[in-house]
Amino acid sequence: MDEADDVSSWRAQPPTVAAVLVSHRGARWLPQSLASIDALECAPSALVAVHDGTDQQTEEMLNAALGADRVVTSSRGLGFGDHVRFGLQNLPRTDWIWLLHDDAIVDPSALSGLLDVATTADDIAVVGPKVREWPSLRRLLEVGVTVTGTGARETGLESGEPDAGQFDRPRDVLAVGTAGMLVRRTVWDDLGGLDPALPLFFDDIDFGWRVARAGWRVRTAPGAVIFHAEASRGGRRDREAGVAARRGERRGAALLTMLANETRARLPFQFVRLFLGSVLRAIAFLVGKDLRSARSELSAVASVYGRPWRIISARRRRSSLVRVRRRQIAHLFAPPWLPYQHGLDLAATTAEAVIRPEVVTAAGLRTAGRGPGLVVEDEVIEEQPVWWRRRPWLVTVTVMVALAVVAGRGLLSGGLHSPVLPATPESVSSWWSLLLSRNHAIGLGSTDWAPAYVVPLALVGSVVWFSPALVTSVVLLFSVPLAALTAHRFGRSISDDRVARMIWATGYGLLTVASGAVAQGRIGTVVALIVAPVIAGLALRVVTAPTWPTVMHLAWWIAVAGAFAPVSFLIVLVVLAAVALAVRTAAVRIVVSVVVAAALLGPWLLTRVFSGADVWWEAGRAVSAPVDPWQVALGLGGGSANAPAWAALAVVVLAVAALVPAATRRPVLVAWGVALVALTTGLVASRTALSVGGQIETVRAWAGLGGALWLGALGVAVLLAAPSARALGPTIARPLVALLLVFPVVVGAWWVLRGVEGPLDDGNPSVVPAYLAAEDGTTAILTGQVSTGLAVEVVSGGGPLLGQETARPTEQRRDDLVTAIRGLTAQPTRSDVDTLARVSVSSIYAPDVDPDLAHRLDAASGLGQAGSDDPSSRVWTVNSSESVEPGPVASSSRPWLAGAWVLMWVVVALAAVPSRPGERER
Amino acid sequence: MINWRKQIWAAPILAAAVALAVASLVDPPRDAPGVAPGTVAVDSVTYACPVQKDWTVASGQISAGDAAEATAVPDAQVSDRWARADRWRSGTAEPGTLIVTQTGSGTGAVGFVAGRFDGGDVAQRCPGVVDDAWFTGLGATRTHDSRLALVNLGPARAVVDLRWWSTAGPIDSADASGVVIEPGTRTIVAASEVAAGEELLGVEVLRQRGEVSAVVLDSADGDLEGSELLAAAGAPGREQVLGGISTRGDATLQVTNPGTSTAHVKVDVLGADGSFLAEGLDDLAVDPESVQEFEVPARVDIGGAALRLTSDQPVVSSLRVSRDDDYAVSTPSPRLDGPAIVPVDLGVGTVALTLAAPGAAASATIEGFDRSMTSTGSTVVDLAAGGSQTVDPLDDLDSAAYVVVRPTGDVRAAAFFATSGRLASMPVSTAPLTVRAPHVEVR
Repeated sequence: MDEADDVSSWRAQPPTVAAVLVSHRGARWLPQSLASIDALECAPSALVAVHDGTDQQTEEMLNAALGADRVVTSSRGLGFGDHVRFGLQNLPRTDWIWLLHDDAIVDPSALSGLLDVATTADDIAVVGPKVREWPSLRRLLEVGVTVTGTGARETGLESGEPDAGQFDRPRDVLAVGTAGMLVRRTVWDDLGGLDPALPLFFDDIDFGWRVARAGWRVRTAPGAVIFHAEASRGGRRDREAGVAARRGERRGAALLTMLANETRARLPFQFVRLFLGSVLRAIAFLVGKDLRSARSELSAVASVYGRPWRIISARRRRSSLVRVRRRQIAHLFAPPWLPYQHGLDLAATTAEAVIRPEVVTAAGLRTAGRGPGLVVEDEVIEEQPVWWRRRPWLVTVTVMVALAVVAGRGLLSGGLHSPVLPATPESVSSWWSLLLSRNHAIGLGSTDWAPAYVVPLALVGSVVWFSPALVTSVVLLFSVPLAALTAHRFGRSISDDRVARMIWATGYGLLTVASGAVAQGRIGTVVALIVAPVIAGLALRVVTAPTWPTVMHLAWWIAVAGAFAPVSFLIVLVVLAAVALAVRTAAVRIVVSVVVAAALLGPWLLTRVFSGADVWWEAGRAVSAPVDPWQVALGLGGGSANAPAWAALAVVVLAVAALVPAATRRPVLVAWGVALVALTTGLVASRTALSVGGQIETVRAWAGLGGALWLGALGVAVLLAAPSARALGPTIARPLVALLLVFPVVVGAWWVLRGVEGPLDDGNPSVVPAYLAAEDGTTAILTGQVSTGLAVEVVSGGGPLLGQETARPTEQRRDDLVTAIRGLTAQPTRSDVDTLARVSVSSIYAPDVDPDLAHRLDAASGLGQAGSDDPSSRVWTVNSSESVEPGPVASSSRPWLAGAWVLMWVVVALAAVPSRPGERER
Repeated sequence: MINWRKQIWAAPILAAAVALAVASLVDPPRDAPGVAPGTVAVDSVTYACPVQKDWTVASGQISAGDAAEATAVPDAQVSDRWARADRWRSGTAEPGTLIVTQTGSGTGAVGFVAGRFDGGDVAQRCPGVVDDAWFTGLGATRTHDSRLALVNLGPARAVVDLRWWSTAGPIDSADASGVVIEPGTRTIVAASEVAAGEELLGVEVLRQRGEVSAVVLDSADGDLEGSELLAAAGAPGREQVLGGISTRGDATLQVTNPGTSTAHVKVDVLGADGSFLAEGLDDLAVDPESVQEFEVPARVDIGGAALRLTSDQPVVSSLRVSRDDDYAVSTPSPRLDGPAIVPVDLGVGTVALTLAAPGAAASATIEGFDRSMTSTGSTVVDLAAGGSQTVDPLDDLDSAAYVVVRPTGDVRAAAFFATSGRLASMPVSTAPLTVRAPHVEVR
């Protein structure tokens, strides 16, 4: 028959249709279901209701509505397909079979709509209706289904997508659901109906797949509508005495369907892919602490892969019915990229959840109304402003990202470094080696533990294995939007004032550059500032809505901050101690979070956090940052690239004013308390020096973190007082908002105009002349004066990479080096040169060399004068036949201990993941 | 009455102000003051003794060393007597240079050489590795010639720069820069090859690379007659003490001023009872970048005394005293920072030891030792402030192969050897027990 013919021509000679209504404990839905069948414009030639006799009420309803002669009782425990088969035995042979569920309402024109399509071509074997959700009635559930390569049922619909006529053209599909499915009787018989091995789930897809391979077409009939409660799929049907519930039955059915129907050529690949995919899914469920789903997934794998004869048997049954090649029906399957698109969608949803758009206009619900007893609620899309006014925070973040690109001009090629920030290794394997190896071929050789911040760097960097520099570049160059994002997210939990919140978050993000941290390459402070609002938000949740994942989450971020900026651990310690004292009910969880964080810091806790002045030494090299107390009070860190100090005055003034309103004073005082802790930290830092070169070299501590946090907390105080300011009316509120804008506007302009380059750079990161770096040897860098003492730093290649700068040689090697250098500068002998060679020093480099030192070294036999890259510097090569002594090696337990340390970070991260609702809960 | 609970809003402001005020009152940390150079024990000492036929070489140490090794340049048979690091040893050696390397922590190994050359006597300590050596009073005429001997003491090539001065100013010499001394060799630079005809020269030997020693063999056969082995002086200074001339004779003072300003030099005589200005030597003007010679008036009695030169510019000086058959040259005596060894049996006559205290009163203990390093007695010499004493070191001692001078205070010393009209002078310097080394720390 030609499809172009009149679609209603069948009405002249209607085909016979036998309807089979299968019911199992469906009393909840049957009244409306049976009523809808009764209201059909075109009734089936014959109808039989099949039930399994497990529910008296169901039987009575069926008998009452259809008459006992049209109700048959089948055996218990059968699947849907077997019930249909049983029902058909009690019906005359017809042209078509119409399958009905007891939890589905059929539209009055459903059957005629199906026949309209079914009769358009002789090769159409199966026709399915448009399935909408019951009871919402408006949302689409299915208009044909297919399956992805990963075995997921794919409807091609958005979640909750309303029916707006977008699928109202009939089309070929792989399968349609059994609810309302119209099947050509001959095809049903040829294929043996639904597979009894798939009693509840995936029987429709399996059947459609077999139909397609047999050379028939499955087609949708959007003109036919049914409303389906999906009681079995949604777990709302009482399955007592029905098909026995098995763990993982749904996923097992999917796996069996895939493996039973795939072609022989694709089977090996799919066999492995589905197995590994299922294992990964199980792991993902475990990460989400959805143990039930994880067990279901594994049970499904066991039930299918553990009983391969089921697959063999199923494939054997299907093999004789295949008429067409798979490539002829390839268009019916979901595209291969679809699972990954779903992954991207998930990522986008997550990102949106992080950004949390400021304004989402609430959609109201209106009653659409459709027929007696059917209430259709539809979303009302209100008149909305343009998108950029609707989502101001998203726009703000986008602008900040764009400005960050502008401010980072000249640095976008990556590979950032500065006097503070060593170059990032070319491969993240360097960080893993630093963590796990027993000895480090760095400088004189070292057995030191890697700094704690290498753990998160290695974990995150592994995502971009061959370009870990991307991690540091993103953190530094996009620190403003990143910090603003975390601040804004925290701001939403403490304030409903949208404008003040966005201004504060933007200002907070700019603190990373205003303090000079970004331009100086102080990645420790930058990370700590990005993380600080996260810690604050989690601490708030631990107090207000405590869960153990939140506690672990808090611990993880405290550890991250402490790893990059050790002093931040002390700040958090003081603040949380005060919180624990004030809120005794949260004390235990707070203590646990701090203890776990301390454990995550590992050796770092002793070597840096609780190691005197070294606590000020953040990730990277220690570089002096002289600063006056008043600069700290204005959020500056000292050193170079500090923003105009006066810009922060407005914040301080507003924070003082925030103390005045009594209504918001209590939370404002809390914010001030945190600010004072940060200020004290910064002020102490401004008056502290740490020794990095013993008695001859001290470094002024970096006060930028304390200063920036002080200003950030004052901003919180202002934010908390914003409602009080609003209450005073626009005459007062507007000037205050304008004052609040001063800091972000001024600093933002300064940031963009100045940029973040210098001393941050992306050029050659080598701390020794280029040819020495290229030789990949070990160079002793001598600084200082003979008269006041010399400092020696031994570097490998071009200098230490990020994470390596803390590696210190063993005492023995240090003593050997000191003795050799002293000897060379006092009364040089051959043995001194040989000592250098034995401890692996191949060159000596003296930048800004002391002439006296140069003269002494020039005279040493075995030291060859070499060229340097600067007139004020000198290079000597060590000429010795001595072979390099093997470097020190840590104990054999080191890799295991380090591995346990890393594992602990992973475990806490997993423990921090919020519990995923299980299938039943969903 | 104030309700303090209502005023709590001001507390954070007050706290911040107090914190800020306290921080402002605290001084910022200062930069590390640095650490002055300290001393390290010398583990290995190498010195080179220039040897002529029949010269005597003596080796000793303050304390016994671990081992010693001697080699000759040019290569020659070397007696194994020098390998004894636990006793005083002396004897003759083949002409050339005898290089002795002695190991042991802080043993203070030293060597001396003495003998006759061109009719005059010489006696000098064998020089070790020099960094910056200065010689003045050299000649490049037919009757007075000086030869600078540079010996490579190490296994690698050594390089030195030479800077020469004459009475007219600096001497440009193409061969002066980058003089290479190959390992195991000696290079002789004759002054006559650099500045032929110059009667008075000064030279600086600046070591650029390697381990090199420097000594000048000075000889004359004219109005001035005899020979002397000149010890290297250290870097130019504004105060220098010249001693070790325990005789009368024609005395001249040679002063090299390497600076670019005229140096005004004043000479004091450090006598037994104190210092006094040397008449006629109270203001000697030395032109910049030149070496000049001044006659010491006969009325200035320098016999057995020491001279102290004070200059407004760094200078290097020497004092030459000549008699009929020989002359002696006194070069600046460095401050004794520790024990110093003075040989007394070098075979060039009796020894007169001049001890001077150019500053405050000081004293020195003189202790004799025999060849087995056993003490043979000691005596203490007290020195008045600005005074000097010339003593026979063997007084109060039964016998000794050498004496050890241990200073208390700022003491300078020089030895004077005389026999049969022949003279030799030698500044006494500290045995190399320790050496100054910069403080070093590993970052």
